[in-house]
Amino acid sequence: MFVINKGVSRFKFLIYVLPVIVLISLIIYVPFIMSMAYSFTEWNGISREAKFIGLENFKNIFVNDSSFQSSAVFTMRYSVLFIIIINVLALLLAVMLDKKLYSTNILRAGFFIPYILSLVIVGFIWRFIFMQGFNALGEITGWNVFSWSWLGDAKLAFWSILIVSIWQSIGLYIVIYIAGLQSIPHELLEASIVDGAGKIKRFFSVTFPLLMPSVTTCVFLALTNSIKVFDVIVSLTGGGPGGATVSITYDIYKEAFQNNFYGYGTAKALLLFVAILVITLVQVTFFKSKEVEV
Amino acid sequence: MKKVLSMVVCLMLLAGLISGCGKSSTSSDPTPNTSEQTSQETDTPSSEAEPVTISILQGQPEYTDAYNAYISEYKKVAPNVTIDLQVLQADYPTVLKSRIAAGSIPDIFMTTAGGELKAYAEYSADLSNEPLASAMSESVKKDMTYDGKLMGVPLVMDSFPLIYNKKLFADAGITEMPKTLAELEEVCKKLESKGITPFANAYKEWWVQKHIFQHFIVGASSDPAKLVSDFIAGNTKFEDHPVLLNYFDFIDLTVKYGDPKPLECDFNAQVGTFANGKAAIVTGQGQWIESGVTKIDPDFDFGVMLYPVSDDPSQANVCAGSAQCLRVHKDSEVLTEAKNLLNWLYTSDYGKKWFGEVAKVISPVKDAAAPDMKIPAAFAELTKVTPSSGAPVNYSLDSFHQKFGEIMQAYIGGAKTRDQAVEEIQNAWVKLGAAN
Repeated sequence: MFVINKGVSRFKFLIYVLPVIVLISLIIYVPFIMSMAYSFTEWNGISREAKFIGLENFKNIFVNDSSFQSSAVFTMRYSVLFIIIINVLALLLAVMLDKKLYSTNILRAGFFIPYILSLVIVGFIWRFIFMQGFNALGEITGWNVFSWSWLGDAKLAFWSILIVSIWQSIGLYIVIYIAGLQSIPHELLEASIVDGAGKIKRFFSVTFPLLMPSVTTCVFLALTNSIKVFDVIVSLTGGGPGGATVSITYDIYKEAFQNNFYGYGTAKALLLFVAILVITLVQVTFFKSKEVEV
Repeated sequence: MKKVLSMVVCLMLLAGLISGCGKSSTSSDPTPNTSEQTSQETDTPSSEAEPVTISILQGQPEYTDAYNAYISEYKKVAPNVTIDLQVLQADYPTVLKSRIAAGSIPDIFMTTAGGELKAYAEYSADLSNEPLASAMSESVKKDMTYDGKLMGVPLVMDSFPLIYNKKLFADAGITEMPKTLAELEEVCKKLESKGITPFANAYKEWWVQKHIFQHFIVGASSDPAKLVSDFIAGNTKFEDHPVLLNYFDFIDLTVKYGDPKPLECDFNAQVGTFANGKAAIVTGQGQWIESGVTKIDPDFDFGVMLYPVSDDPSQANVCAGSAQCLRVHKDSEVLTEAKNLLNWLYTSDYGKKWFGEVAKVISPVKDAAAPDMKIPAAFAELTKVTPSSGAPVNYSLDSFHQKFGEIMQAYIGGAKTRDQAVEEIQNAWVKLGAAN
């Protein structure tokens, strides 16, 4: 009765995905666009009316907002260090855990467990370690490291946040890298052994190029997660001391919900969204071009 | 044939989905009808009044037990009223804002007094002509009034004296309480020579600074409210008020004679240090630390004193006032019932006793009994000699105070000089001090 031609199958395809498209639009895209409209207004988030002020908010962000600038610098420093350190460390650990050690499974679980915990809880645990734990350790060992003010000194607080967030999320990256390592065909590695490549040569010339898809994924994840860093800062330092550890997202939160500049906060959020979009697009295109096909 | 069928089914499902969405979005009107059944079941049949539900949203979780106590007591007075109380542990302002945005405003909600009165004015009922207005003590009422209308009903009055450990002071042989900054430093030296750390600070918390700073505002001006509004308007500078600059001396002093990691100490650490007798004076706190301290040391001997703010003993002062207040939603469906509840709390015999005996707080109601607690009792003694001033923390918004605390942290950490800090505080005051 029915001849299946292209038109019908496309129509069918549309019918099948339509519910999902409608739902996602209603729940995500429409509110997103609606909220973006507030970035052109002066609104305190409470009153019934928002005043339209055009591009005034965006002008203020770039001209006279020192807190946005300092938070942007913080976020950039944090992101760069986070991406590099976590990827190098995770790759190293993944290579080690890919070996058939007696304790491989226990170690893999051990590295992954912090990732299951909520970052807020991790923050509180580490706050306790930095404050009370280090004090006690300092009394026992007498080492200077423990008497430093890890959360109270602006420079150290930055590193504390970096250490804690890497400690928490490294498990995920290790898992991705291990999966990537295991999908590398054995015959290629064996062939390189036959050709006389040493361990290091083998890693950089065979393993690493074949691992590029995993690297793309991991760098992408690390990039988006580090630009959006928020909860670990809130629970660990609260942006302190003296605003030294305020990230862009935390700055937006403070602007919108603490200072009641809702429109202004939305404008910053819009900028952040565009920035993340551009950076990740560039990153993914660049890394994709480096991937090799087997 | 099957394909036609499956397509039809698919379309029907889709239609159902869309209509389902439509329905749920139109019926989001927050009518409290759903709880009628539960209240009818529990009610005694004697009441003829319509059963109603009053929803309350508030912070201050430390008083949850006390709130529940008055709610169950009110059930006896007005059996037709069901109270749906929600006490939030944290992030209160955000939740309140999203409830307002969603159109489900609680019948009674809490905000801070002073500055936030204006921000939420279009949602608040005017309570000036209610019986509770005449029962409220005058100094509190002033902080609850915006545009000539009484808009807030505080449940708690906070006092902010310098609290010290009487035993440690006696050990160090200190009998005279310091009233000037020089005398305070003498006290610190005496304490330190006995091996006692003078100060327990909590400079990791931004709100500690505002509690300390308000005493310097009071010391600097006989009309603190005007001084603050001048700063918000940008009409005055720190350099015109030497007492305000003394504030930095005071902070320097507390850091010098305090914990070696000043910016790492939070509220819990501060209370712990103080309760364990490791430090003699607590800065920037008030009567609310008592339960925390007595949990660690039940026999703790509290003393309270004025904040020295300059080298003039007559300027030493202590602040007390209400920082939080309940407000009635103007367009609430149960407006009268909500007002009645608060009136009852302020004027009935139980209500008057509730503040001191159940909530154990200093009451914002005129002539109510003082609670049976050590710090409020000592505070009552102290204010017999020097009456307390209002609480200037209420005159600026917390958005300013958070920035203020942040700037002071940078000052303590050495990232900002005194001049930079002063400059930034003045700017922040203009930008964030008042609701826009």
